[in-house]
Amino acid sequence: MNNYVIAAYTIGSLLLWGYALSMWLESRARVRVERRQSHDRKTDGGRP
Amino acid sequence: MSSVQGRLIRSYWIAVALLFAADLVLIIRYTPDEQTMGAVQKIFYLHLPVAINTFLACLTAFVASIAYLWHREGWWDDLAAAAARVSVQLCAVVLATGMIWGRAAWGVWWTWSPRLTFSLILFLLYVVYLVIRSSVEGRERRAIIGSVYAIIAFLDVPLVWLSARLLPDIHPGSVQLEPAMKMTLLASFVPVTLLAVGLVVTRFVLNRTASVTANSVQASKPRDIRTAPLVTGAALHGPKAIRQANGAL
Amino acid sequence: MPLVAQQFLLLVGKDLKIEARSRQTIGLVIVLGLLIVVVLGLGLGGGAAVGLGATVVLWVAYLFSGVLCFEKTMAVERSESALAALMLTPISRGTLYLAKLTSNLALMAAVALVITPAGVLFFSFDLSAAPVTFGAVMALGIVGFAAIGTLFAAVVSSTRLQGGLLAMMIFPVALPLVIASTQLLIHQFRDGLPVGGMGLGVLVAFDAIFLTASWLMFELVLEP
Repeated sequence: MNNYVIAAYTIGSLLLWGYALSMWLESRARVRVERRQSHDRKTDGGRP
Repeated sequence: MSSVQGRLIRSYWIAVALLFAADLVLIIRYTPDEQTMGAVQKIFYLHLPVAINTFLACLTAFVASIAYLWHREGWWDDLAAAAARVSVQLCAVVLATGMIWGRAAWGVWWTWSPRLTFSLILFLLYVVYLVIRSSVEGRERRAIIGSVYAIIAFLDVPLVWLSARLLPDIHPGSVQLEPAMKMTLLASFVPVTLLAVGLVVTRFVLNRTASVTANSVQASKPRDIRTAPLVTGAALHGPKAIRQANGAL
Repeated sequence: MPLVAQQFLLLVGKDLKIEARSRQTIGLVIVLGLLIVVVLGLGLGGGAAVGLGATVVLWVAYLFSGVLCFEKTMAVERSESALAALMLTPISRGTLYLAKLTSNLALMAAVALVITPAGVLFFSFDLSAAPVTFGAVMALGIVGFAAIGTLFAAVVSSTRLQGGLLAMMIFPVALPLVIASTQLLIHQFRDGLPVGGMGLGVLVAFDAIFLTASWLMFELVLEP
Protein backbone atom coordinates (compact mmCIF):
# COMPACT_ATOMS: atom_id res chain seq x y z
CA MET A 1 0.00 0.00 0.00
CA ASN A 2 1.26 3.40 -0.97
CA ASN A 3 2.94 5.36 1.85
CA TYR A 4 1.06 8.50 1.00
CA VAL A 5 -2.27 6.73 1.23
CA ILE A 6 -1.33 5.39 4.64
CA ALA A 7 -0.20 8.84 5.77
CA ALA A 8 -3.40 10.46 4.52
CA TYR A 9 -5.69 7.97 6.20
CA THR A 10 -3.67 7.99 9.41
CA ILE A 11 -3.67 11.75 9.70
CA GLY A 12 -7.30 12.00 8.64
CA SER A 13 -8.48 9.38 11.08
CA LEU A 14 -6.37 10.77 13.93
CA LEU A 15 -7.81 14.22 13.37
CA LEU A 16 -11.43 13.12 13.04
CA TRP A 17 -11.39 10.77 15.98
CA GLY A 18 -9.20 13.17 17.92
CA TYR A 19 -11.93 15.78 17.64
CA ALA A 20 -14.48 13.32 18.98
CA LEU A 21 -12.18 12.25 21.79
CA SER A 22 -11.38 15.81 22.85
CA MET A 23 -15.08 16.64 23.07
CA TRP A 24 -15.68 13.55 25.17
CA LEU A 25 -12.88 14.57 27.53
CA GLU A 26 -14.29 18.07 27.70
CA SER A 27 -17.75 16.82 28.61
CA ARG A 28 -16.26 14.60 31.29
CA ALA A 29 -14.30 17.52 32.75
CA ARG A 30 -17.41 19.64 32.70
CA VAL A 31 -19.43 17.01 34.55
CA ARG A 32 -16.71 16.88 37.20
CA VAL A 33 -16.72 20.69 37.55
CA GLU A 34 -20.51 20.79 37.73
CA ARG A 35 -20.61 18.09 40.38
CA ARG A 36 -18.09 20.01 42.46
CA GLN A 37 -19.97 23.29 41.98
CA SER A 38 -23.32 21.87 43.01
CA HIS A 39 -21.65 20.23 46.01
CA ASP A 40 -20.18 23.61 46.94
CA ARG A 41 -23.56 25.26 46.58
CA LYS A 42 -25.23 22.70 48.78
CA THR A 43 -22.61 22.87 51.50
CA ASP A 44 -22.20 26.66 51.10
CA GLY A 45 -18.54 26.28 50.12
CA GLY A 46 -17.66 24.78 53.44
CA ARG A 47 -18.35 27.95 55.38
CA PRO A 48 -19.60 27.31 58.91
CA MET B 1 -28.04 12.96 31.61
CA SER B 2 -29.98 9.72 31.86
CA SER B 3 -28.26 6.41 31.45
CA VAL B 4 -30.48 5.53 28.47
CA GLN B 5 -29.19 8.59 26.67
CA GLY B 6 -25.66 7.71 27.71
CA ARG B 7 -26.02 4.22 26.35
CA LEU B 8 -27.50 5.46 23.06
CA ILE B 9 -24.65 7.87 22.62
CA ARG B 10 -22.08 5.20 23.34
CA SER B 11 -23.73 2.77 20.92
CA TYR B 12 -23.80 5.45 18.27
CA TRP B 13 -20.11 6.14 18.51
CA ILE B 14 -19.21 2.47 18.65
CA ALA B 15 -21.27 1.90 15.50
CA VAL B 16 -19.57 4.79 13.73
CA ALA B 17 -16.14 3.51 14.74
CA LEU B 18 -16.98 0.02 13.45
CA LEU B 19 -18.35 1.36 10.17
CA PHE B 20 -15.26 3.52 9.81
CA ALA B 21 -12.96 0.55 10.36
CA ALA B 22 -14.98 -1.59 7.96
CA ASP B 23 -14.76 1.17 5.38
CA LEU B 24 -10.98 1.29 5.75
CA VAL B 25 -10.79 -2.45 5.20
CA LEU B 26 -12.99 -2.12 2.13
CA ILE B 27 -10.83 0.62 0.69
CA ILE B 28 -7.53 -1.07 1.35
CA ARG B 29 -8.37 -4.64 0.48
CA TYR B 30 -11.22 -4.79 -1.96
CA THR B 31 -11.29 -1.62 -4.01
CA PRO B 32 -9.25 -1.75 -7.21
CA ASP B 33 -6.57 0.81 -7.99
CA GLU B 34 -7.37 3.51 -10.46
CA GLN B 35 -5.54 3.19 -13.77
CA THR B 36 -3.99 6.62 -14.21
CA MET B 37 -3.03 7.50 -10.67
CA GLY B 38 -2.64 4.14 -9.06
CA ALA B 39 -3.09 3.47 -5.40
CA VAL B 40 -2.74 7.16 -4.49
CA GLN B 41 -6.21 7.88 -5.80
CA LYS B 42 -7.62 6.03 -2.80
CA ILE B 43 -7.12 9.11 -0.67
CA PHE B 44 -10.14 10.37 -2.58
CA TYR B 45 -12.49 8.05 -0.63
CA LEU B 46 -11.70 9.97 2.55
CA HIS B 47 -11.13 13.37 1.01
CA LEU B 48 -14.41 13.78 -0.86
CA PRO B 49 -16.87 12.69 1.87
CA VAL B 50 -15.10 14.94 4.37
CA ALA B 51 -15.20 17.81 1.87
CA ILE B 52 -18.93 17.38 1.28
CA ASN B 53 -19.53 17.28 5.01
CA THR B 54 -17.49 20.43 5.47
CA PHE B 55 -19.82 22.16 3.06
CA LEU B 56 -22.86 20.74 4.86
CA ALA B 57 -21.51 22.02 8.16
CA CYS B 58 -21.07 25.49 6.65
CA LEU B 59 -24.62 25.28 5.33
CA THR B 60 -25.87 24.30 8.78
CA ALA B 61 -24.12 27.31 10.30
CA PHE B 62 -25.72 29.51 7.63
CA VAL B 63 -29.24 28.23 8.24
CA ALA B 64 -28.80 28.34 12.01
CA SER B 65 -27.53 31.92 11.79
CA ILE B 66 -30.52 33.03 9.76
CA ALA B 67 -32.78 31.23 12.22
CA TYR B 68 -31.08 32.99 15.11
CA LEU B 69 -31.51 36.42 13.54
CA TRP B 70 -35.14 35.59 12.92
CA HIS B 71 -36.09 34.04 16.26
CA ARG B 72 -33.33 35.35 18.59
CA GLU B 73 -33.18 32.08 20.51
CA GLY B 74 -29.76 31.19 21.93
CA TRP B 75 -30.38 27.63 20.77
CA TRP B 76 -29.76 28.58 17.14
CA ASP B 77 -26.60 30.47 17.89
CA ASP B 78 -25.17 27.49 19.76
CA LEU B 79 -25.92 25.33 16.75
CA ALA B 80 -24.31 27.79 14.36
CA ALA B 81 -21.18 27.97 16.50
CA ALA B 82 -21.00 24.18 16.74
CA ALA B 83 -21.44 23.70 13.01
CA ALA B 84 -18.85 26.34 12.15
CA ARG B 85 -16.34 24.85 14.55
CA VAL B 86 -16.79 21.40 13.07
CA SER B 87 -16.48 22.84 9.57
CA VAL B 88 -13.07 24.23 10.50
CA GLN B 89 -12.06 20.85 11.89
CA LEU B 90 -13.27 19.00 8.83
CA CYS B 91 -11.70 21.53 6.49
CA ALA B 92 -8.36 20.89 8.20
CA VAL B 93 -8.73 17.24 7.24
CA VAL B 94 -9.66 18.23 3.68
CA LEU B 95 -6.56 20.38 3.43
CA ALA B 96 -4.27 17.75 4.94
CA THR B 97 -5.51 14.93 2.73
CA GLY B 98 -5.61 17.22 -0.30
CA MET B 99 -2.01 18.28 0.22
CA ILE B 100 -0.82 14.72 0.71
CA TRP B 101 -2.68 13.70 -2.42
CA GLY B 102 -1.12 16.58 -4.31
CA ARG B 103 2.33 15.63 -3.09
CA ALA B 104 1.84 12.00 -4.02
CA ALA B 105 0.31 12.60 -7.43
CA TRP B 106 2.13 15.70 -8.64
CA GLY B 107 5.18 16.04 -6.43
CA VAL B 108 4.29 19.35 -4.77
CA TRP B 109 2.94 19.97 -1.29
CA TRP B 110 1.17 23.10 -2.41
CA THR B 111 -0.07 24.67 -5.60
CA TRP B 112 -2.59 27.44 -6.17
CA SER B 113 -4.95 25.12 -7.96
CA PRO B 114 -8.70 25.76 -7.77
CA ARG B 115 -9.45 22.98 -5.28
CA LEU B 116 -6.62 23.58 -2.84
CA THR B 117 -7.12 27.35 -2.95
CA PHE B 118 -10.83 26.91 -2.36
CA SER B 119 -10.22 24.66 0.64
CA LEU B 120 -7.71 27.08 2.10
CA ILE B 121 -9.98 30.10 1.79
CA LEU B 122 -12.92 28.16 3.21
CA PHE B 123 -10.75 27.18 6.15
CA LEU B 124 -9.71 30.79 6.71
CA LEU B 125 -13.27 32.08 6.44
CA TYR B 126 -14.48 29.92 9.27
CA VAL B 127 -11.36 30.23 11.40
CA VAL B 128 -12.06 33.97 11.35
CA TYR B 129 -15.59 33.17 12.52
CA LEU B 130 -14.18 31.38 15.55
CA VAL B 131 -11.76 34.21 16.31
CA ILE B 132 -14.55 36.79 16.09
CA ARG B 133 -16.70 34.81 18.47
CA SER B 134 -13.95 34.58 21.01
CA SER B 135 -13.26 38.32 20.71
CA VAL B 136 -16.73 39.69 21.25
CA GLU B 137 -18.12 40.03 24.75
CA GLY B 138 -21.77 39.83 25.54
CA ARG B 139 -23.79 36.82 24.55
CA GLU B 140 -26.32 38.57 22.39
CA ARG B 141 -23.83 40.80 20.64
CA ARG B 142 -21.59 37.86 19.93
CA ALA B 143 -24.49 35.89 18.52
CA ILE B 144 -25.62 38.71 16.24
CA ILE B 145 -22.15 39.46 14.93
CA GLY B 146 -21.41 35.78 14.51
CA SER B 147 -24.64 35.22 12.62
CA VAL B 148 -24.05 38.14 10.26
CA TYR B 149 -20.56 36.92 9.55
CA ALA B 150 -21.62 33.30 9.07
CA ILE B 151 -24.23 34.40 6.54
CA ILE B 152 -21.75 36.49 4.59
CA ALA B 153 -19.15 33.75 4.76
CA PHE B 154 -21.52 31.17 3.36
CA LEU B 155 -22.67 33.49 0.59
CA ASP B 156 -19.00 33.92 -0.15
CA VAL B 157 -18.43 30.18 -0.64
CA PRO B 158 -19.81 29.96 -4.21
CA LEU B 159 -17.93 33.17 -5.04
CA VAL B 160 -14.69 31.61 -3.82
CA TRP B 161 -15.43 28.52 -5.85
CA LEU B 162 -16.14 30.49 -9.02
CA SER B 163 -13.13 32.73 -8.69
CA ALA B 164 -10.84 29.83 -7.81
CA ARG B 165 -11.90 28.14 -11.04
CA LEU B 166 -10.21 30.97 -12.89
CA LEU B 167 -6.90 29.91 -11.41
CA PRO B 168 -4.65 27.77 -13.56
CA ASP B 169 -5.20 24.10 -12.86
CA ILE B 170 -2.00 22.21 -13.46
CA HIS B 171 -3.75 18.91 -12.97
CA PRO B 172 -6.93 18.78 -15.00
CA GLY B 173 -8.77 15.66 -15.95
CA SER B 174 -11.55 14.01 -14.02
CA VAL B 175 -11.14 10.68 -12.35
CA GLN B 176 -12.74 7.70 -14.05
CA LEU B 177 -14.60 5.55 -11.57
CA GLU B 178 -15.42 1.90 -12.10
CA PRO B 179 -18.61 0.57 -10.49
CA ALA B 180 -16.64 -1.00 -7.63
CA MET B 181 -15.03 2.34 -6.90
CA LYS B 182 -18.34 4.16 -7.01
CA MET B 183 -19.66 1.67 -4.48
CA THR B 184 -16.70 2.28 -2.21
CA LEU B 185 -17.18 6.02 -2.48
CA LEU B 186 -20.85 5.77 -1.55
CA ALA B 187 -20.02 3.40 1.27
CA SER B 188 -17.37 5.81 2.58
CA PHE B 189 -19.96 8.53 2.86
CA VAL B 190 -21.78 6.67 5.60
CA PRO B 191 -19.21 6.55 8.43
CA VAL B 192 -17.80 9.98 7.56
CA THR B 193 -21.20 11.67 7.53
CA LEU B 194 -22.28 9.93 10.72
CA LEU B 195 -19.05 11.02 12.34
CA ALA B 196 -19.51 14.62 11.18
CA VAL B 197 -23.10 14.70 12.42
CA GLY B 198 -21.94 13.24 15.72
CA LEU B 199 -19.29 15.95 16.03
CA VAL B 200 -21.77 18.74 15.37
CA VAL B 201 -24.41 17.36 17.74
CA THR B 202 -21.90 16.75 20.52
CA ARG B 203 -20.42 20.20 20.10
CA PHE B 204 -23.92 21.65 20.08
CA VAL B 205 -24.81 19.91 23.32
CA LEU B 206 -21.60 21.15 24.91
CA ASN B 207 -22.33 24.71 23.75
CA ARG B 208 -25.90 24.45 24.95
CA THR B 209 -25.03 23.27 28.45
CA ALA B 210 -22.44 26.04 28.68
CA SER B 211 -25.02 28.65 27.61
CA VAL B 212 -27.66 27.33 29.97
CA THR B 213 -25.18 27.34 32.85
CA ALA B 214 -24.06 30.87 31.99
CA ASN B 215 -27.66 32.05 31.82
CA SER B 216 -28.58 30.55 35.18
CA VAL B 217 -25.45 31.93 36.86
CA GLN B 218 -26.33 35.37 35.52
CA ALA B 219 -29.89 35.12 36.75
CA SER B 220 -28.99 33.91 40.20
CA LYS B 221 -26.37 36.54 41.01
CA PRO B 222 -27.53 38.00 44.33
CA ARG B 223 -28.14 41.69 44.38
CA ASP B 224 -26.72 43.23 47.52
CA ILE B 225 -29.21 45.62 49.00
CA ARG B 226 -26.52 47.75 50.59
CA THR B 227 -24.44 48.41 47.52
CA ALA B 228 -27.23 48.77 44.97
CA PRO B 229 -27.95 52.50 45.47
CA LEU B 230 -24.23 53.24 45.51
CA VAL B 231 -23.75 51.43 42.26
CA THR B 232 -26.60 53.24 40.60
CA GLY B 233 -25.43 56.54 42.02
CA ALA B 234 -21.95 56.02 40.66
CA ALA B 235 -23.38 55.23 37.25
CA LEU B 236 -25.41 58.40 37.20
CA HIS B 237 -23.13 60.90 38.87
CA GLY B 238 -19.68 59.51 38.54
CA PRO B 239 -17.18 58.51 41.21
CA LYS B 240 -16.27 62.12 42.08
CA ALA B 241 -19.85 62.89 43.11
CA ILE B 242 -19.89 59.77 45.26
CA ARG B 243 -16.73 60.90 47.05
CA GLN B 244 -18.28 64.33 47.63
CA ALA B 245 -21.46 62.74 48.93
CA ASN B 246 -19.39 60.54 51.24
CA GLY B 247 -17.43 63.58 52.41
CA ALA B 248 -20.65 65.45 53.13
CA LEU B 249 -21.82 62.51 55.21
CA MET C 1 -36.60 64.80 -4.94
CA PRO C 2 -37.80 61.85 -2.92
CA LEU C 3 -37.10 62.00 0.79
CA VAL C 4 -34.76 59.02 0.74
CA ALA C 5 -32.56 60.67 -1.86
CA GLN C 6 -32.50 63.87 0.16
CA GLN C 7 -31.50 62.03 3.31
CA PHE C 8 -28.87 60.11 1.39
CA LEU C 9 -27.31 63.23 -0.07
CA LEU C 10 -27.41 64.89 3.32
CA LEU C 11 -25.55 62.03 4.96
CA VAL C 12 -22.94 61.74 2.24
CA GLY C 13 -22.51 65.48 2.23
CA LYS C 14 -21.98 65.45 6.00
CA ASP C 15 -19.31 62.78 5.78
CA LEU C 16 -17.49 64.45 2.94
CA LYS C 17 -17.67 67.83 4.61
CA ILE C 18 -16.19 66.41 7.80
CA GLU C 19 -13.47 64.83 5.74
CA ALA C 20 -12.83 67.97 3.73
CA ARG C 21 -12.41 70.01 6.88
CA SER C 22 -10.14 67.71 8.82
CA ARG C 23 -8.55 65.89 5.90
CA GLN C 24 -7.17 63.34 8.31
CA THR C 25 -8.53 60.14 6.83
CA ILE C 26 -7.79 60.92 3.22
CA GLY C 27 -4.19 61.86 3.94
CA LEU C 28 -3.49 58.77 6.02
CA VAL C 29 -5.11 56.42 3.59
CA ILE C 30 -3.43 57.76 0.48
CA VAL C 31 -0.03 57.79 2.13
CA LEU C 32 -0.46 54.27 3.44
CA GLY C 33 -1.48 53.00 0.02
CA LEU C 34 1.39 54.76 -1.61
CA LEU C 35 3.91 53.40 0.88
CA ILE C 36 2.69 49.87 0.34
CA VAL C 37 3.10 50.25 -3.41
CA VAL C 38 6.57 51.72 -2.93
CA VAL C 39 7.74 49.04 -0.52
CA LEU C 40 6.47 46.23 -2.69
CA GLY C 41 7.81 47.97 -5.76
CA LEU C 42 11.24 48.15 -4.22
CA GLY C 43 11.09 44.53 -3.26
CA LEU C 44 9.52 43.06 -6.33
CA GLY C 45 9.54 45.61 -9.07
CA GLY C 46 13.04 44.87 -10.23
CA GLY C 47 12.69 41.45 -11.72
CA ALA C 48 10.20 39.23 -10.03
CA ALA C 49 6.91 40.88 -10.76
CA VAL C 50 7.23 43.30 -13.62
CA GLY C 51 4.10 44.28 -15.44
CA LEU C 52 1.16 42.24 -14.23
CA GLY C 53 2.54 42.08 -10.72
CA ALA C 54 1.17 45.58 -10.41
CA THR C 55 -2.40 44.28 -10.14
CA VAL C 56 -1.70 42.21 -7.06
CA VAL C 57 0.43 44.91 -5.46
CA LEU C 58 -2.34 47.42 -6.07
CA TRP C 59 -4.85 45.07 -4.51
CA VAL C 60 -2.69 44.70 -1.40
CA ALA C 61 -2.50 48.48 -1.19
CA TYR C 62 -6.28 48.83 -1.68
CA LEU C 63 -6.97 46.21 0.97
CA PHE C 64 -4.87 47.76 3.69
CA SER C 65 -5.68 51.36 2.98
CA GLY C 66 -9.32 50.41 2.53
CA VAL C 67 -9.48 48.76 5.93
CA LEU C 68 -7.99 51.86 7.52
CA CYS C 69 -10.40 54.06 5.59
CA PHE C 70 -13.50 52.08 6.64
CA GLU C 71 -12.37 52.02 10.26
CA LYS C 72 -11.92 55.76 10.34
CA THR C 73 -15.17 56.68 8.62
CA MET C 74 -17.02 54.52 11.09
CA ALA C 75 -15.02 55.91 14.02
CA VAL C 76 -16.30 59.37 13.09
CA GLU C 77 -19.75 58.17 14.09
CA ARG C 78 -18.50 57.02 17.46
CA SER C 79 -17.32 60.44 18.58
CA GLU C 80 -19.90 62.37 20.60
CA SER C 81 -22.52 59.66 20.11
CA ALA C 82 -23.15 60.80 16.55
CA LEU C 83 -24.33 57.36 15.59
CA ALA C 84 -26.78 57.20 18.46
CA ALA C 85 -28.24 60.49 17.29
CA LEU C 86 -28.46 59.26 13.72
CA MET C 87 -30.24 56.13 14.82
CA LEU C 88 -32.86 58.19 16.61
CA THR C 89 -33.79 59.94 13.38
CA PRO C 90 -36.34 58.31 11.07
CA ILE C 91 -33.65 57.66 8.46
CA SER C 92 -33.79 54.03 7.41
CA ARG C 93 -30.78 51.87 8.18
CA GLY C 94 -30.53 50.95 4.53
CA THR C 95 -30.06 54.61 3.65
CA LEU C 96 -27.43 54.92 6.37
CA TYR C 97 -25.59 52.00 4.83
CA LEU C 98 -25.70 53.39 1.30
CA ALA C 99 -24.55 56.77 2.48
CA LYS C 100 -21.66 55.28 4.43
CA LEU C 101 -20.76 53.14 1.45
CA THR C 102 -20.78 56.11 -0.88
CA SER C 103 -18.53 58.11 1.44
CA ASN C 104 -16.17 55.16 1.61
CA LEU C 105 -16.22 54.78 -2.15
CA ALA C 106 -15.47 58.45 -2.62
CA LEU C 107 -12.41 58.13 -0.40
CA MET C 108 -11.31 54.89 -2.04
CA ALA C 109 -11.68 56.52 -5.45
CA ALA C 110 -9.31 59.25 -4.32
CA VAL C 111 -6.85 56.63 -3.08
CA ALA C 112 -7.13 54.61 -6.27
CA LEU C 113 -6.59 57.68 -8.42
CA VAL C 114 -3.30 58.33 -6.66
CA ILE C 115 -1.82 54.91 -6.16
CA THR C 116 -2.93 53.16 -9.33
CA PRO C 117 -0.81 55.31 -11.61
CA ALA C 118 2.03 54.93 -9.12
CA GLY C 119 1.72 51.16 -9.22
CA VAL C 120 1.50 51.05 -12.98
CA LEU C 121 4.56 53.24 -13.16
CA PHE C 122 6.70 51.38 -10.62
CA PHE C 123 6.00 48.06 -12.22
CA SER C 124 6.25 49.24 -15.80
CA PHE C 125 2.83 47.82 -16.50
CA ASP C 126 1.88 48.35 -20.11
CA LEU C 127 -1.80 49.18 -20.08
CA SER C 128 -2.12 50.07 -23.74
CA ALA C 129 -3.80 46.81 -24.68
CA ALA C 130 -6.92 47.46 -22.62
CA PRO C 131 -6.75 50.42 -20.29
CA VAL C 132 -10.50 50.79 -19.90
CA THR C 133 -10.89 47.12 -19.01
CA PHE C 134 -8.19 47.47 -16.41
CA GLY C 135 -9.93 50.45 -14.87
CA ALA C 136 -13.34 48.76 -14.96
CA VAL C 137 -12.09 45.54 -13.38
CA MET C 138 -10.29 47.32 -10.56
CA ALA C 139 -13.21 49.66 -9.97
CA LEU C 140 -15.69 46.78 -9.74
CA GLY C 141 -13.38 45.02 -7.33
CA ILE C 142 -13.15 48.06 -5.09
CA VAL C 143 -16.92 48.49 -5.07
CA GLY C 144 -17.47 44.95 -3.80
CA PHE C 145 -14.69 45.35 -1.28
CA ALA C 146 -16.18 48.58 0.07
CA ALA C 147 -19.63 46.98 0.20
CA ILE C 148 -18.66 44.37 2.77
CA GLY C 149 -16.05 46.63 4.32
CA THR C 150 -18.74 49.13 5.29
CA LEU C 151 -20.81 46.40 6.94
CA PHE C 152 -17.91 44.86 8.83
CA ALA C 153 -16.58 48.24 9.91
CA ALA C 154 -19.92 48.88 11.59
CA VAL C 155 -19.61 45.52 13.32
CA VAL C 156 -16.09 46.12 14.59
CA SER C 157 -16.58 49.73 15.61
CA SER C 158 -19.39 48.84 17.96
CA THR C 159 -17.18 46.54 19.96
CA ARG C 160 -14.23 47.54 22.05
CA LEU C 161 -11.87 45.32 20.17
CA GLN C 162 -8.30 45.56 19.10
CA GLY C 163 -7.31 46.63 15.63
CA GLY C 164 -6.64 44.04 12.99
CA LEU C 165 -10.04 42.50 13.52
CA LEU C 166 -11.55 44.37 10.61
CA ALA C 167 -8.76 43.27 8.28
CA MET C 168 -9.19 39.72 9.49
CA MET C 169 -12.92 39.79 8.75
CA ILE C 170 -12.72 41.44 5.35
CA PHE C 171 -9.75 39.72 3.74
CA PRO C 172 -11.05 36.16 3.38
CA VAL C 173 -14.46 37.37 2.25
CA ALA C 174 -12.92 39.75 -0.29
CA LEU C 175 -10.54 37.16 -1.71
CA PRO C 176 -12.91 36.13 -4.55
CA LEU C 177 -12.79 39.73 -5.76
CA VAL C 178 -9.02 39.79 -5.63
CA ILE C 179 -8.67 36.44 -7.35
CA ALA C 180 -11.27 37.14 -9.99
CA SER C 181 -9.97 40.57 -10.91
CA THR C 182 -6.31 39.54 -11.00
CA GLN C 183 -7.02 36.37 -12.96
CA LEU C 184 -9.20 38.23 -15.46
CA LEU C 185 -6.48 40.81 -15.94
CA ILE C 186 -3.84 38.10 -16.31
CA HIS C 187 -5.93 36.48 -19.01
CA GLN C 188 -6.33 39.84 -20.70
CA PHE C 189 -2.80 41.15 -20.61
CA ARG C 190 -0.68 38.03 -20.68
CA ASP C 191 -2.78 35.65 -22.73
CA GLY C 192 -4.62 38.15 -24.85
CA LEU C 193 -8.04 36.79 -23.90
CA PRO C 194 -10.39 39.74 -23.61
CA VAL C 195 -12.25 40.02 -20.33
CA GLY C 196 -15.51 40.60 -22.13
CA GLY C 197 -19.04 40.76 -20.85
CA MET C 198 -18.80 37.43 -19.06
CA GLY C 199 -15.81 38.44 -17.00
CA LEU C 200 -17.22 41.81 -16.06
CA GLY C 201 -20.57 40.16 -15.46
CA VAL C 202 -18.99 37.87 -12.89
CA LEU C 203 -17.56 40.85 -11.02
CA VAL C 204 -20.87 42.68 -11.21
CA ALA C 205 -22.62 39.59 -9.80
CA PHE C 206 -20.14 39.41 -6.92
CA ASP C 207 -20.71 43.09 -6.20
CA ALA C 208 -24.47 42.65 -6.31
CA ILE C 209 -24.34 39.81 -3.79
CA PHE C 210 -22.10 41.73 -1.40
CA LEU C 211 -24.13 44.92 -1.73
CA THR C 212 -27.48 43.25 -1.18
CA ALA C 213 -26.38 41.15 1.78
CA SER C 214 -24.62 44.05 3.47
CA TRP C 215 -27.47 46.47 2.83
CA LEU C 216 -29.97 44.02 4.35
CA MET C 217 -27.92 43.21 7.41
CA PHE C 218 -26.54 46.65 8.23
CA GLU C 219 -29.23 47.49 10.74
CA LEU C 220 -28.57 44.31 12.68
CA VAL C 221 -25.03 45.31 13.49
CA LEU C 222 -25.56 48.97 14.23
CA GLU C 223 -25.24 49.79 17.86
CA PRO C 224 -25.03 53.28 19.30
